[in-house]
Amino acid sequence: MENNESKLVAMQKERGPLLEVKNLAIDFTTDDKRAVHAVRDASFSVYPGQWVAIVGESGSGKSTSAMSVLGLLPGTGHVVGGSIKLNGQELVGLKQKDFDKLRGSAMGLVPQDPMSNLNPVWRIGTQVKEALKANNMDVAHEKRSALATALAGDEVKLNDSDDETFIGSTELPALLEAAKAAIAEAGLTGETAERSMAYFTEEWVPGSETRWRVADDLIKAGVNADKAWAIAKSHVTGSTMDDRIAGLLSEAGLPDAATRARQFPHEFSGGMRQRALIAIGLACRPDLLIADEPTSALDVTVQKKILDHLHMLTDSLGTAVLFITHDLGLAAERAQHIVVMYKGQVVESGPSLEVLQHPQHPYTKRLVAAAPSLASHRIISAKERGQDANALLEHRVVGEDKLEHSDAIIEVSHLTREFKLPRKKEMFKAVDDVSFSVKRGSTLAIVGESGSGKSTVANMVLKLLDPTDGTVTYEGQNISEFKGKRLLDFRRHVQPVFQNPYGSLDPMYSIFRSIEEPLRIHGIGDKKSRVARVSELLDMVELPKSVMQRYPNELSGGQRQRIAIARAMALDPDVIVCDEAVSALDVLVQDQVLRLLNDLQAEKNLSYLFITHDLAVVRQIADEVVVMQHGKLVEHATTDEVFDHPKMQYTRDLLDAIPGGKLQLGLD
Amino acid sequence: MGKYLLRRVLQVIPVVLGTTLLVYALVFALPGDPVKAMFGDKPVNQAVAAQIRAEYHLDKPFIVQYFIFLKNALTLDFGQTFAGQPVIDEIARAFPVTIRLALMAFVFEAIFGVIFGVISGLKKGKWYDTVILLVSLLLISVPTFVTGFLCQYLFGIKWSILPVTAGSNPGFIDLLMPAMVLGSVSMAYIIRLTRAEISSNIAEDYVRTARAKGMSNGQVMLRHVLRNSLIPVVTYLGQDIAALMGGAMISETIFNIHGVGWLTYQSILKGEGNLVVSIVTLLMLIFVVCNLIVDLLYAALDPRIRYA
Repeated sequence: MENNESKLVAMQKERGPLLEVKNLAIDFTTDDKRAVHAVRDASFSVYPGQWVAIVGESGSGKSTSAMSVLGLLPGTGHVVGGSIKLNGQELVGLKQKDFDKLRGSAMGLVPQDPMSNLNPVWRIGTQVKEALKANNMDVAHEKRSALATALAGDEVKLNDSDDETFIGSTELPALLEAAKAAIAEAGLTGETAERSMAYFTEEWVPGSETRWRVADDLIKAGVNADKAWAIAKSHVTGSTMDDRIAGLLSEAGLPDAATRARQFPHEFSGGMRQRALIAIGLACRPDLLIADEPTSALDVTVQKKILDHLHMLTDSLGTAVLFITHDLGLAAERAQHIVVMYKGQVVESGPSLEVLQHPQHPYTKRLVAAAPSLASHRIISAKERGQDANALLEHRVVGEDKLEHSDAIIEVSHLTREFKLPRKKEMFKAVDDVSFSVKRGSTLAIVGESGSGKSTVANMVLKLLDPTDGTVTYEGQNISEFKGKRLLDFRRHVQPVFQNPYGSLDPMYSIFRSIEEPLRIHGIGDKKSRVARVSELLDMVELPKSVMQRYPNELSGGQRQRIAIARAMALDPDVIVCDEAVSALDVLVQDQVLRLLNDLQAEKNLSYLFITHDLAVVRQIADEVVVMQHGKLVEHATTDEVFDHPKMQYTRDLLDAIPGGKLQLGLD
Repeated sequence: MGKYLLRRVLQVIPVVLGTTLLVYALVFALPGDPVKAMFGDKPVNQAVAAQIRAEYHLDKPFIVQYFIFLKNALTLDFGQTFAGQPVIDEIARAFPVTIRLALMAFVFEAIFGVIFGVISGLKKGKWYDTVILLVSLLLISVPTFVTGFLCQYLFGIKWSILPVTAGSNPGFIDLLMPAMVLGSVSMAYIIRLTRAEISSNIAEDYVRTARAKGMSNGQVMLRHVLRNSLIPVVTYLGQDIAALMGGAMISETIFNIHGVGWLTYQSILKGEGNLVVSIVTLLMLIFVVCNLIVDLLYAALDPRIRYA
């Protein structure tokens, strides 16, 4: 392994960069023909087999740079200067027709949003097939990348190219029979033989594994070499298109791939779709794979699985990866080399650990400070060194000792909610017997993957949904009994902030009207005092008064979320329910919003019910954590306990999924 | 699927009963006595009139007349016109003409609507996109009879390329201009629909993914842009067949085509209740069947839609 790595580095040096971007400049043209500079003077390189991450916030030009390599700039974008070289070939100024020849076979793409990147009308298998057909791929034989062949060269004797022939699905039963006979012949019996057979059945995937692999496995199992090669040669004669499609999908980690290939995208979950897109991106064995935030739209646990798998695949295929992400922790964990982009320029680049431990540019320093995955890690490492971690917990204002004697403002007991599923008799339990309480002036976080029932709990606490069973009490009173004036009063004191700041503000309302609306509904103050109150609220969330006259589409995501918080704060609530309130935001903005929430809590003695799938954020903000899985509460403890001594395996999985968890961090 | 089909077919029964009753009531409520009208200028012979009334059941209450019609209709006996012709013969004469006209209009609007829509959608903002948009807007806003008269004047009289009117038992050339006029409004809608679909689909993420696979531009357009864009266009076209048959009344009157629209209009004027109700029932059945086909086609074209 060590040997391989040094060989890889030597090879990279010898061959030079696979992708070399120099002084790249990209402009977009506005409607009135003005040029907007999206990328300026950007330079970076990717060596064969290397993972390089471009990190930056949205609008930093990271995706734009990556798309220009593929020749797929959106809309009016065009390269106005610099050079992009792939394997020494200049790509700037290439015709779309010539790009067609390179796309797929020389460079592949794994796009950002798995929900919109598959055509809903074609079967998954058909969409994989398109990639194979467009590049005239030989579906019966593997195409090894130049790097893989060179690396494997000395150890693996490739007699001829036929050794790269795939197993076909029709010949598999006969092959397994022959293998069984050969093993018996070799004198293996009982458990050893069974174990070998089980291994073969599991590993020999048609359309993915080759003749060489079959022979190798048989030899390793104890069959003599000549016999093993004889079996491999007579029983592995090549796969069909359908076999190859299933093989590719199963390589990407899709179970039961042959059946899955016949399904349509809408029958797949987000994670499965992303696996299909990875299969498509790697179908023609490109030298370079461009992965544009490939897992940002997915849950953390799924994200980890998929990235692990992608890593393993690209390593074994010798594919270089240009990895676009906004999470520095994730970038550092996955890539050997990091390029930091800010406002269209490369502000810093270097080996991952170097960038992380000794950031030079002020923007990189801010990114390192803001990345929640790194922040929570910083706390752990400080504790390990016996340092006082409290200094790092700047977000946590409320001391734990204070928690003990504060009373519960919201109490949830044995909460259950069932839904009727179409065409099914039994009810689906979205929330199953969940109990917890939110203490006054503290933050309780509910953590879980999508579908764990956490948002359903939030909706019941907000009385937007009635529970099937169990109760929610606010200040000791059962909220299901609230009606009329009492309900209005409850609504006034318990306010929501929702996930999507784009969707939760009415685009036709000015910012003033959006914030003023709750005051008007509850009949608070007159026109003049309401204007004063709105400007006071804007002040509180650190926005200038001038935004009052503007509309939501003129503000950024972070600004809109601040407006949503200001709106929630308008009525001086006691409790704020944040349903994934920061999940859609960039790390820097996320950090700002979290700080704001903490400051407000300290100032107004607010209680938060914080719903999120991101444990890293929890570490920064919560006092107590409730972990939910499949509608059930699986763990409930203080934040420190959950992070330091997780009791359940599921919680440990969630913790492991925080990117950057295994990084060594400098504490400068 | 089978259950869904059965449900849809059973739904037709109350629809047929409801419409026939409504149309029958409307014809019954028309002012004027058809029997008196048959005598023209001659004095009305009360005995003969009573005999005619009895023969056509006009002396019975409305609801009884309606059930007699229904009972006969079940045995495919739609009765006779006042002139003594079996209603079924009149319909058999008129329907083929209208079907020919509607099909020609359909082919015309489908071909030219999609072609111009695709050109327009792919080259948004070019001068010919603007021209195509303007012409389609014009076709939508100008009433059919104006377009009809204008075409008659230009193609028929001024340049004498096509016959001005069709007359009874018209051929392909006779129906060419009426079909184009009849299909022009729908064509304009199809242009706009196709254009909007193409220009929104071309910006979809999966189109970019397809390009990233290395597919050629032509393949990407055909398999990912056009294929997806045509789903709503095909559903529109399916529903339009029925609309073309029922809506041919104006065109048939302008071009003197003895089709269904023309026949309906004539029979309303004469108070031929049986004839009107029979035609309307048939048109409605065509409408229902077309709608069912469209719904099934929609499910076949878009895998996200499944009926159970």
